[in-house]
This record gives sequence, C-alpha cells and structure tokens, in this order.
Amino acid sequence: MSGRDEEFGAFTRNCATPLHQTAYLLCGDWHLAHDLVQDTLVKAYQHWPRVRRADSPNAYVRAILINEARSRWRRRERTVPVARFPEGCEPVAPDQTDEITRRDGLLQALLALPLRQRATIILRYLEGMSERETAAALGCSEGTVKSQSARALGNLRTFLDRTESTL
Amino acid sequence: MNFPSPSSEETQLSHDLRQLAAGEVFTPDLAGIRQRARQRHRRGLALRGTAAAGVAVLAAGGVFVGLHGNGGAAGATAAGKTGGPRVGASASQSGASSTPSVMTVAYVTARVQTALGNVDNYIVRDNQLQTGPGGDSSVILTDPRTSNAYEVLHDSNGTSLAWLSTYLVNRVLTWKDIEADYSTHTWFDLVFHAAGPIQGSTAGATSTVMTPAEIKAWLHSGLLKIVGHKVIDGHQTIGLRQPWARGYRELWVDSTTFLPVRLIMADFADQKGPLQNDMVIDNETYLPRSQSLLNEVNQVHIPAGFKQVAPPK
Repeated sequence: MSGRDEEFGAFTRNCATPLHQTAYLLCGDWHLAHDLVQDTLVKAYQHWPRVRRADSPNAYVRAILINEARSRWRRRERTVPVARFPEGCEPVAPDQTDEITRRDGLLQALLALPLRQRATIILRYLEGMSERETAAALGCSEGTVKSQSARALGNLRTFLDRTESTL
Repeated sequence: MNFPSPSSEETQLSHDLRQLAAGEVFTPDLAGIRQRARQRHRRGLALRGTAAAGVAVLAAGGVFVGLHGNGGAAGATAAGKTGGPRVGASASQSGASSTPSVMTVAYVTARVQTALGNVDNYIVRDNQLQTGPGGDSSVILTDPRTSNAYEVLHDSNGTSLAWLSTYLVNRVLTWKDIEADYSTHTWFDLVFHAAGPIQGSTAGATSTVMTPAEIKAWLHSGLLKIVGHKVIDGHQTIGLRQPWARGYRELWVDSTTFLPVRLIMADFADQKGPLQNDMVIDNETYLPRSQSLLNEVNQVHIPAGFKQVAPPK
C-alpha cells in the first residue's frame, strides 16, 4: 500500500462515520447516504493531494459530498427525499414528551429546507463547523452562511410551529 | 476573538441533530474506493475517446495524432529509428523557438486540416500525463480503424492494463472495458453504455479519433488564436489556444508538417472549490501499423495466472 493510500485510509477512517451522518441528514435515507459517501470518497481519493493541502480537508470533503447530493438532485437519478406526509394530511402535533417523534418532526422539517439551507444547518449544528469552514464547504462567503443559517432556522421554526413542536 | 455563545435553541438543535444521526457506523471500503477511482479514469478515457463527446474528444489519446495525410510522410521521416513520426516527449524538453514563423490562425488551421486525413494508416501512441492531484500517467495505443484502444496505466495503485472498445447497440453507444490489475493479479470484463440512443446520424460516433468534420468545426470555431512557438522534443511547433470550459485547450503542431505534437487541456472549473480538474498533457507518436501493434491494441492478453473477478459496480 502506498503512502498516499495509508494517509487517505487514516483520514477516511476518522471522517467516514461523521460524513455518513451528514449525508443522512442531507438526504434522509441511510442507503442513499451510503452511496453518497462512497462516491464522495472516490472523488476525494482521486483528488487526495488537493484535499490534504486544503485549509480544511474536512470542509473540502463535505463540499464534495454536498456537490454529490446536488448533482444527484439535478440528474434526478435518485431523488433526494424531501418531507413527505400522507396525502391529504397536515402535519399533526406530536406528543411533546415523545423525543423520537419530536426528532422525526425535526428531520421532516430539515428535509423540507432547500438543499443549501439544509447543508448550512447540518454543517453548523451537526458537524460544529465554524462559519468560515462552512463557507469553504459551501463555496460561499461567511456572510452568506450567516444569512442562510438565519433563514434556515426561521424556516425550521415556521415548519415546527405548524406541528406545535420546538427546536 | 470572541464568538457569540450559541443560543439555547441552537444548542438544542445540535443535540437533536446528533441524536437523529447517531447509531450508524460507516466502515469505508477502501479497496472498493481505489478500484472505483481507477474505473472512473477508464470511463473518462472511453468517453473522451468518442466523437459524440464533441469538444471533450480532444482529450483522447491520439485524437489528432493519426489524422494526417501529406504531413505523415514528413513526420515519419523525422521519427528516425521508430519508423514513424515521433512527436513530443516531455514538457521539460520544451524550449523557446529559435525561428518563429509568422503565420495566421487561418493559415495554420488550413494546413492542419490538410494534414489530418489519413489516420487509418497508423497506430497512435499517446503518452498521457495528468498533472496535479490524483495524477497518473498512461500509455495509450489507439487503432483508428477499429476504435479500439489499449492502455497501460500507472497510478498510485500500481500498474493496470485495459482494452477498450466502443460500438453501437441499437444506436446506443456502448463501451467494453477489460482490465487486468497487477496489484491484485485479477481481471474483469465490464460493459457500460450511454444513457440513451444517439439522435440523428451515428456516423463517426464510435470513433476514438475526431472525424474530419468535427476537426473542421473545431478549427472553424472562431475562438482560436496563436499563442506562440516553441520546440517540443526537437520539433519546432506552433501553438493554438482556445477557451475551453473554464480553462483552455492548446494544440501544438509541428510547424513544418502541421501534425499535432502536444495537446494540453486545462480546465480550472471550480478552482475556488472542490474538484478542480487537472491539466492533461498528451504527447503523441505516430507508428506505422504493424502486426505486433495491431495485436496489442485489438487482442486481449490477460497475463498468466490472473484470476477473473466481478467488475466493480
């Protein structure tokens, strides 16, 4: 195994599960998330010297992941899921004592966000990335990250208000 | 530097997101990742090699190389021991021109078109170098008559061999790829195809080199300019450049024979983000058709002792 492979392997073993979690929240499906991460890692491997030279390799790989999700959305090859409700049904108020139901409502709200807002929320609040890292991953300015975060939080609140839930 | 403290709402959101995403452990398939990375390279090669790919066809090994007529004889003379016109070897050998000619784009493109017309008499050898991240090098032999190509690839995984052929099935472009991998002593056979049928004429669709019509269209695109003169591997050349994607592509042709010597493709797409494309440098050699070369390109020779495996998904 080459030095490059060893280095890539070490990086991948550390980041694979967090990347998978991010992918899941991006698409709402563990199997699709698996595919997204595999595709992401193939590209990361192909461009490994550039990835490792990046200011933040983690942000760089997230950027690849988000591009992959966006690309699939555009190709409609495998639709990235969005929030779904039974036909004719409005979201129902969850039992506030039921954490699982509450979190499921949050996932539905998250999936209802535009992809960029969703990605912003995930990178900031799941991955704990700084605004700078998030901006690098999304290929936008820190100001845009701020505005996207605020807009996304507002949309989440609006969605969850309809279900009488809270963030 | 002081960062604002997260609000309780944000803290709760972080907690909830972590709970939502918890529980699944992802174990990466590193061998599969490496294999797929290599496969992407092969597919890129096959796709670049089709005339239907338009501009991208220029990236294919030997795209212009074998397409020549009168210039071929002059090139072959220059080839010395190989018996074929040898063009290009390494970027480091490039130098400034001692006697740059004054030529217009129109003149050069007309001469190149004249030179490009007799590809079938040659096997094209292309030494291709992809620079930068993920860079690799390969030697590609192409038979313009059969649209078959044989590649020896050297990348971080070691060496692999591949035989690529392109054909139509019910108007759908189809590629057959047989690969042998020295790192695992395995080989596989893979067929993949385009998403849909070709609309209209299929003429030239399976060609691994550009058709004269496509070359003409490219040269007449109106965006070319002469960018200079330099010596490449002993050949006095003249360079044509064209904006391409978010970069450029350059074709350096022998200023006497007007045969291609070097093709450079540079796409700086997404330079501020991920997936910046690499620069591809093709150095090309024309080789007279010989039985041994034809066998190499058109016949699959799996090394002894290699075991067949399922192709990567």
